[in-house]
Amino acid sequence: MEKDYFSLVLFTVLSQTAAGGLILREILLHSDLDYQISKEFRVLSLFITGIIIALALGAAFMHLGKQVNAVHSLRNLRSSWLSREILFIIIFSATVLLYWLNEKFWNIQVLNSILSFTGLLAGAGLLTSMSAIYMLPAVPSWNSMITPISFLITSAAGAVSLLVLLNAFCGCVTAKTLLAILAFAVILSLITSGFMFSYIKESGLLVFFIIRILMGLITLILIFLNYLNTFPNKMTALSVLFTTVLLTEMAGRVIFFLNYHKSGL
Amino acid sequence: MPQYAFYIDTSACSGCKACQAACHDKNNTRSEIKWRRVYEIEGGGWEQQNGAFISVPFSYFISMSCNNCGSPVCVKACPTTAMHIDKNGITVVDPQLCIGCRYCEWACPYNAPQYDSIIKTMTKCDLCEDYLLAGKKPACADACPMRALDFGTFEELSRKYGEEKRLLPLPEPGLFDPGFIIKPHRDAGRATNEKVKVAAKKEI
Repeated sequence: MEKDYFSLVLFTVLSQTAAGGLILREILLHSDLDYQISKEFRVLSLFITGIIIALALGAAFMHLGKQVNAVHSLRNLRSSWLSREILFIIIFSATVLLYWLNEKFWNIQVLNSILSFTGLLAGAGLLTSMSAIYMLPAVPSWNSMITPISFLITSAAGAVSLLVLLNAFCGCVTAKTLLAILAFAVILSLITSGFMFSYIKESGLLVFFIIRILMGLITLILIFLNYLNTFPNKMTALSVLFTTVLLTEMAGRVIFFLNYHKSGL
Repeated sequence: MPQYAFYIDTSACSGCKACQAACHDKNNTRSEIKWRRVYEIEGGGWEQQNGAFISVPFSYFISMSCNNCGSPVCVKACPTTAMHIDKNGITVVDPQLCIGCRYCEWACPYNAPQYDSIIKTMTKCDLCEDYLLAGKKPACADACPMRALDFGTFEELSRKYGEEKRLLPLPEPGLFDPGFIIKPHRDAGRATNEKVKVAAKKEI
C-alpha cells in the first residue's frame, strides 16, 4: 500500500457521507416520517453536501500522481469501475450544485423532481462503483461483502449525523428516530471492523483496532446523551457528534487501507 | 495474436538476481523500480517423526515480471486506457494518459505495474519490445546464468515445457490467465500443504 493513502481515507469517507446525505435528504422529503423540514434546511443541506463533495474531490485530486492527465479519466467506462466512479461523482456534484441553485433562487418544481431523481441515481451509482473498485480478486482482504457493507454503513452514519446537525441548525426538533438509526449504524460499523479481525491481528493493526473501538464507544455515548437531550447547547453537541462519527469512520477506513494484503506475492 | 510468455524454472533458479540487474541495465530504471523481481519463498519448520523433531525448512526463488496476462486486470482497471495492449499484443502503459492513481498496481496480483515517484506515472515491463522486434529475447531471459528463464509465445513454450502454471504462493492462474509456464521447485509440492511466505520482503 502506498504511503499517501490518507487522501483516499478522506475521499471515501467524505464522498460516502455526501452521497448518503443526499439520498437520506430525498427519503426524508418524500416520506411520511415524523421529521420537521424547513425551507432553510432544504437549501442548507444541499449547500453543505456540495461543500463535502468538493472537499472529497480535492482529496481525490491530491491522490493522483499526474493531475494534468485527469481529463482522460472517463476513457475506460467500458471496463473500469474507477472510471465509472469518476463519472458518477461528476454527475453527483453537478446535480447537487444545480439542485442548490434551484432550491435557493429558481424554485422550478419540475427541475426539482428531475434533480432529485438524478441525485438519487448518481449517489447510488457512486456508492456502488466505490465498493466495486476495492473488490479486487488480487486483494482477498478487500474482496468480500464486508467492503460494500462497511461503505454503506459509513454512508448511513455520516448522512444521519449530518442531517440531524443541519436540522438542529435550522431550529427544528431533533428526530429521535434518526439518532436511534445512527446508534445502530455505529454499532454495525464496529461489527464490520470485527470481521477484519483475523487480518488485523496478522498485520499488527491491533492498536488501530482498539482506537477504533474506543472512538466508536465515545460516539455511542454522545448519541445516547443527545437522545436524552442532556446538553444545554444542542448545536455544539450535535457538531461534536458529527465530528466523532466522521473520525470513527476514518479510523475504520485507515484500518481498511492498511489491511491491503495481496494474494500470493 | 499469440500470447508472449516466460518459462520460469524454479528448480534451477539460484536467486542470483542477474535477471533483475539485466532489466535495470537495459531499461535504465532506478533501484526502487523493479520491473523484474526475484522473490525468495520460504516455508517448513519442524516435524515430529518417530518421536524425534526434525528440521524440514525449504526455500525457493521465483523470478517475476509482467506476465502479459491473457486477461489483464491492469488494463480493465485503468480508468484512462493508459494501460493498454499494443499492436504487438504486449501490455504497455502510455505515460501521456496515465494519471498515476496506482489502481493497476492494486489490481495486478504479480506487482507488475510500478509507480515512478519522479515522473508521477506508472511504469512497467514491456517484455523488451524493441529487442523482440529485433528478433532477440528480453534482457532478463538472456542474462540468466542458470537458464532458468526462457521466453517465447505461450504455444512454443508449452510445446517445450508443458503448461504448468501453479506454484504457491502465486494466485490461482485461472483468474488472470498469466503468460508463464512454471517448472516447480522440488519442494513446491510440500508447499501445498504448508504455509509459505515471501522472505525478506523489504529487499524487493
